[in-house]
Amino acid sequence: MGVLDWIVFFAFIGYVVWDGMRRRSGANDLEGYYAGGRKIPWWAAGLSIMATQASAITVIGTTGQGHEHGMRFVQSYFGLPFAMVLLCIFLVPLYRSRNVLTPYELLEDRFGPMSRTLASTIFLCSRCLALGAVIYAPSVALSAILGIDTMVAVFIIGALTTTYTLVGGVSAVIWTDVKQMAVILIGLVVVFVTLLWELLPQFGSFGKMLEVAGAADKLGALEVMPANDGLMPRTHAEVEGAIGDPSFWEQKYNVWAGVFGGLFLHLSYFGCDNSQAQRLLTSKNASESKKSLLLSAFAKVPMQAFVLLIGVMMWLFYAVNEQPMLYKADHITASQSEKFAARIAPLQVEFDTAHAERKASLLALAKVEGGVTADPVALKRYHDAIASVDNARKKARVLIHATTDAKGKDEDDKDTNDIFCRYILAQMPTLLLGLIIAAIFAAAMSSIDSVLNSLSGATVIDIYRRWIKPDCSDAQALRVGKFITLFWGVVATFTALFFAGGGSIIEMINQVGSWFYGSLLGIFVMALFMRRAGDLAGALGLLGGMLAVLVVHNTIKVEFLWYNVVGLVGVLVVGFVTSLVVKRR
Amino acid sequence: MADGTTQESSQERVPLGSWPRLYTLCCVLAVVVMALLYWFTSHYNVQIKS
Repeated sequence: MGVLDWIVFFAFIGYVVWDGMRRRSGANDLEGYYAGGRKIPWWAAGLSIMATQASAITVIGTTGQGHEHGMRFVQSYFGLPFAMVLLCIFLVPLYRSRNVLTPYELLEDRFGPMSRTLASTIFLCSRCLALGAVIYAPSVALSAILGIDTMVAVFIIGALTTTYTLVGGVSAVIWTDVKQMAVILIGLVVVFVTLLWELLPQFGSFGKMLEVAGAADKLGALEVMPANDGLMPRTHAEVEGAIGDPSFWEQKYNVWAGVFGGLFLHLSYFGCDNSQAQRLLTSKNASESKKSLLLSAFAKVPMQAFVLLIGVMMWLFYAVNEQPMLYKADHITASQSEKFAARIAPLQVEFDTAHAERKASLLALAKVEGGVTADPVALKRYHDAIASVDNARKKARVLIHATTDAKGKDEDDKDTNDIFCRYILAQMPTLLLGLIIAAIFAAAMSSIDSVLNSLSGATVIDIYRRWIKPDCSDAQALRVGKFITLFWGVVATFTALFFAGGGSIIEMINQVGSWFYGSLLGIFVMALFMRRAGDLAGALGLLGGMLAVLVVHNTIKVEFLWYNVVGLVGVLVVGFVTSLVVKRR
Repeated sequence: MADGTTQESSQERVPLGSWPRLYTLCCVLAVVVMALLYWFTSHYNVQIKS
C-alpha cells in the first residue's frame, strides 16, 4: 500500500469513528440509545438494513464464492423479496402496535416471560457466534495487507467498532451504516470497472467474456431442475459410504431451496433477529418501517448477482493472466519456506502447465464460430484444463495443511475468502486500493455495530430490566446498556478466534443462523396465528424447533437452508400439541 | 416515550398509491429478475459434468 492508500484508508476510518461518536447527544435515554428516538428516516433505516446484511463477508466471501463456484449462490436470496412483503403485511404492524425496544418484548405480552426470555437468549447466543465470524472475515484482509497477525487485526476492528457503538447507540450505527453502504457500493463498482478495463482488450467484448465464463460453468445463476430425482434424504452413513444418489435435499443451491428455504431464512433474519428487526422500531411509524424493508426487497438480489459477477470476472482475469497457486497469506509464507520448497516445486510445475493449457484452451474456445458448444472437442479440452488447475491448487492446499496442522489432517484448507484480497493487493492502482480496503472495513463495521447494539438492547431490555433489576431507572439501564455493549464487543472479539481457519465464511454465517432462525420465526408465527397457545406452548415450541433441527442434522443429510423450515415446523407442531394439552391462562 | 408509532398518518404518501400495489410490484419484479437470471443461465452457462 502506498502513502495515498493509507491516507484514504485512515481518513475514512477516522471519519466513521468521529461520525459515530458525535451522535451521542441523541443517545441520552433508552429510546434514543436503542430506537434512535423513533426519528430515523426510512431511507436511512433501509440503507442500514442493507449495510448490516452486506458485511465484509459480502465483499470478500461472495466474490470468493463467485470465483470458485460461479453465480449459483445468488439463488439463496430468491426468497428475500417475498419475505420482505410478508414481514410488511404481518410483523411490522405487530411491532409498531407498541412502543417496544426489542421484538421479544411482544412475546411476553402474547405468551409470557418464559417465551420472551428464551427467544431473546436464542438471539443472544446465535448472534454472538455469528458476530465472531463477521469480525474474523475482514481481519483476514487486514492481516494480509499489513502483514500483522490475524488476531491483532481482530482486536483492532473489534475495538474501533465497539467504541463508537458504545458512545452513540443505534443512531451512530444507522448513520455510519449509510456512509459505509455508500463506500461499499463505490468500492464494488471500482473493482468491476477495473476488471472490465483489464479484460475487455483481452476478449474484445463483454459478451465474449460471458461466453467463456459460462463455458466454465460459472454463470449458473438459476437451476430449476435438480440434478437427480431422489426425494428421499440419505443418512450420514449412506453419504459417507457413497451409497445411493445424492437427494434433492443435499443440493446446496437451486431455485427451490432459494425460494422456500431462503424465504424462511430471510423472514426470520429480517423479522425476528434483533440486529435487523431493531431497524423497524427506529422509524417514526409503520409506514416508514415498511418502506425501509422494501428497499432491500428491490435491491438485494440484483446487488448480490453483481457481487458474484465480480468474482466470476476475477476468475476470468486469472484464467488469462498470471494466477497464484495459493491465495492464503500463511500458505504463501509456508510454501516459500525451505521445509516446503522441494515438495511444492513439482506442484507448482503441474499448476503452471495446467494454467497454460487452460489459457490456451480458453482462447481457442473463444475463437470457435457459432458459440462455445459448437465444438465439443474444444469444450472438453477446456473443461479438463479447468479441472487440472483446480486439482493442482487443491493438492497444494492439502499438502500445506497436512504438514502444518498439529494433527496432520489431510484436509483441504480452502482459500475462498482470500481471493479478493489477493486480487486487489496485486492489481489495484494506488489510491483505489486504499478505497477498496476502506470498503471492506466499512462493510465489516456496518455489520458489527448493528449486532453489538442489538445484543446490548436484548440483554438490557429482556434480561437485565426484566429479571435482574425490574425497578431500575432509564438512566441506570442506559449506563448498564453501555457497559453491556462493551462486554459484547469483548466477547465477540474473542469468539472470532474460533473462526480462524474455517471454510467459506459466508456459508458459515448462514449455517449458524439456520440452526436457530426457523425456531425464532416459529414463535412469532405462533404469536400471530395460534391464539390458544400460552407461555408453556411457546417455550416448548421454541425448544422443540431447535431439537428438530438437531435431530435432522444428526440423522440425515440436508442442506442448511432447509433447517429454517425444519425449525419452523418443529415449533408449530410442538407448540400446537402443547396448546391442546395446556390451556392458555 | 414518544407516541405516534401506531398510527399511520392519513397524509402519508404510499408509493404507487397503496400498499397492495407496491407489494405486487415487488413480487412481480422478483419473478422478473429470476426469469432474467434463468435466461442468462440457459443462454450462457454450460454445466461441467463431473
